[in-house]
Amino acid sequence: MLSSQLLAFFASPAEFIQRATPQQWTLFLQQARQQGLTARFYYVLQTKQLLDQVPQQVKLHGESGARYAQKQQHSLYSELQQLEPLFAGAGYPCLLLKGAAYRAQALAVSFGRLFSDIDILVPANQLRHVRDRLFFYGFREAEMTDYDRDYYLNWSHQNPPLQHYQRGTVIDLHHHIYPTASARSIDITPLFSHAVSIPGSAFKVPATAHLFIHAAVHLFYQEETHKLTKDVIDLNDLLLEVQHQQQLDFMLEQAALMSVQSAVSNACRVLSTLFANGAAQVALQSPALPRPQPLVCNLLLTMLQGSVASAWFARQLWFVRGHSLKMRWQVLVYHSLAKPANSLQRWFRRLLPGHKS
Amino acid sequence: MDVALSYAAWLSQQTTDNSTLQATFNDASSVLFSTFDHETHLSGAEAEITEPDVD
Amino acid sequence: MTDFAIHTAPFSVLVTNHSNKLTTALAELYPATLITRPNPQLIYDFCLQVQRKWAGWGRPFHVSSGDQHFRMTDSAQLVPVFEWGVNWCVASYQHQFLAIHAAVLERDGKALIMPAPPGSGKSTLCAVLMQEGWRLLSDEMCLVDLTSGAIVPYVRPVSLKNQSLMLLQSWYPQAQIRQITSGTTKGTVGYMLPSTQSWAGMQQTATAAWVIFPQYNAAQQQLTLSKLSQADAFMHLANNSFNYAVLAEQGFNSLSRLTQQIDAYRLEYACIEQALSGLNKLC
Repeated sequence: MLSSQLLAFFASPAEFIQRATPQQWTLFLQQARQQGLTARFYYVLQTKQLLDQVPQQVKLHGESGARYAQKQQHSLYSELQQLEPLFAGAGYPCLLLKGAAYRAQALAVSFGRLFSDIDILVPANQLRHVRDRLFFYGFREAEMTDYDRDYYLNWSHQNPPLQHYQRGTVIDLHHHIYPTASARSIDITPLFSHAVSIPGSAFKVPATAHLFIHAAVHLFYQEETHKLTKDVIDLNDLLLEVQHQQQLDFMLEQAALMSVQSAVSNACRVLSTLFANGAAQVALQSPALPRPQPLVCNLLLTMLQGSVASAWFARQLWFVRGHSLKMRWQVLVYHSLAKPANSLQRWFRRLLPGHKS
Repeated sequence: MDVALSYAAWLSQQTTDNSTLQATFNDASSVLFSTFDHETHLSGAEAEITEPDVD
Repeated sequence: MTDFAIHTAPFSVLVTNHSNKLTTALAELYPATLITRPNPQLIYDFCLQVQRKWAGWGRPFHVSSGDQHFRMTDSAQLVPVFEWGVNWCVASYQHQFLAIHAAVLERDGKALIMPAPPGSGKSTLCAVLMQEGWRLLSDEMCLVDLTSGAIVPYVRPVSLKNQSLMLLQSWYPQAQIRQITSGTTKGTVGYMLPSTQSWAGMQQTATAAWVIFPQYNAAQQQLTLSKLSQADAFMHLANNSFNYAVLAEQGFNSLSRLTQQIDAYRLEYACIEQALSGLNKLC
C-alpha cells in the first residue's frame, strides 16, 4: 500500500508511464527516494528506451539518483581492489554476496541499486582468520557489549560489522547465509562448490541460482520489513536473470539440496502475483517444488499491498514469525532471559563503588 | 561510469587506460583528476581532496 | 489541515501541514504566487510533512519526509525548523547540479560567488549586497547546471543569525526582516525577504564571473584583496561543494569550466563599508 506506485511501475513500466497522473508521479518520486530506488527506476527506463516518454522532472530526479549510484559503483570497485591483496593469498574461497555480487558482475538487478555495505562469505572455520587480517588492514568493530558480540559470533551468521577507520567502508563478514541458531540447517557447501571466479580478482561470486536462493531465504526467514518493496523488486530481477542464464532447473535442484524449497516456492508465488514473473510461473509448475504456503504468501502480500491497518497487523505477525524461525525455541528463551539479565548485571556493576564511567 | 561495466572489466581497464584528466586555466595554473581513485590534485602538489566514505 | 505547495524553482515542495501558524508565517516570507493550494495537475519534487504525532495541543510538531524523520519542534520554532527541513529534503537529491555551499548574487548577468565557512561574514555580506541592488540567487546554495554551466538561482528568504541580524537592522532600517525566532539551536534566527528583482528573476540563470572568499577580521586595518590562482580557487570550491565527490569526472569537468570563467580573490575586511567599496571597484 505504502509503495503501491513503485510496485505498479516495476511490474509494468510501459503501462505505468502511460497512465500515471501528476499526483501519482509525485507519490512515485517520494516512494522511490524512501526505498532507495530512484536510480533503479532510471535504468529500467533507460534499458527499455522509455526515458523520453516520462515527464522531464521525473527524468531529472532519475538522473540525479543515477549519478549517486555511479559513484557507489566506483567506490565499491575501488574498495574491492584495495582488498585484493588481503584475499589473494587465501587458500579458501571468498565470495561476494548480495549487492556486491550483483554489481561486480554488472547483472541487470545491480543497475542503479544502492548498497550500504560489502557482504563477504568465507568458510566458517576461516572467519576469525579473515577478521584478524581485516583488523590488520584498518577495519575495526564498533563498540558493543559482550552480549551483543557473543550474539553475532555464536548465534548469528556473521561477524559484527567491520568498518574501515579512514574510508568508512563497512564489511559484513558471513560464515553462513542464515543464522546458525536456526533449527533449519541449510547446507551452504554448494555455494562454494559452484562459485564463479572473477577474472583478475581473488574474489568469487555465487552462481546466479544461489544468489536468488539467498535473497529468497533472506526475505522469508527474516523479520525485517523496512525495505520489503526493494527486496521483492530485487528478487523479481534475480529470478529473471536466473532464467536468462538458463539456471532455472539448476536453481530448483539446489533449493531441494539445501532444503530451502518453501522459501523458493513462496517467492515464486509472490513474484507471480506481483509482477506476473514468467520464470516464477514456470517454476511453480515444476513437480520439484512444493506448493507455496498460502498464509505466508498472503502475509507478505498484505504488507505490500494491504491497507494501512492490515499492513501494520501483518508486519506484527511477520516479526514474530521471523524470530521464531530464526531461533529454536530453547535459544529464543535463552536470549529472552539472558538479554535482560545481562543488562541488569551491567546496571548493578555501574552502581558498585569504584566503578568508572 | 558505465553501469554495464563489471568489476573484472574495470580491473582490466585500469591497466590499459589513461587515468588522469587535466584542466589548465588562463593563468596557467592547473589541476588533475584521477578517474581511478577519484582524487583531485593541484598540479605538482600532494593530494588535497580525498575520497569520502562509501555510504 | 492546511496543506500547501511551495514553488521555489528549481524545486517545488508539497507540504502536508497541520499548523495554521506555519501557513500564516510563510505568507510573510514568500510571495503569494509561490505558495498555493496543492494542484493535482502538477508533479512536486519533494514532499514534507509537518504534523503532530498524537493529536493534541502542546504536542511537538514532527517535520519529516515520508518515513525519514528530520526534527521535532515546538510551535514557537516551527518556521526555522521548516526552512531547514526544506534544505535537508533537497540537499541529498540534487545531483543534477554541482552544488557549492556559497552565496550567489548577480549584476549585469554576471554572478559573484562567495563560498565561506560559518563566521566568515558571508551571510551578512550577501544581505548587504542585495540591499545595495545586487540580485540574489541564493544565500547558501550555488547550483551549477552540469550541462550548460550556468548558475541556477534557488531564491529563498535570507537566513540571518544573531549579531548579523542586529547589524542589518541598524544599517538598513527599511529592510524587511521577518519571523525572528530566538532560542533555536543556532541562536536567534530571522529572515530577510529577497528583493523584488530577486523574486522576479528566480528562474533567470547567470554566468559565473567572480569568486570571492570573504573573511571578517576585526583586527584588520584596511581591506586586503588578494588574487588567488584559478587552480587554488578550484580546490577551495571543490572543498566547499556538497557533491563534488559524488559527481566525480562530471564534477571535475563542470568545476573546471566554471573556474575558467572566473577571477578569484580572498577578501579580508574589518568593516562592511570597506568590503562593499572593495567589491564595487572589483566587480
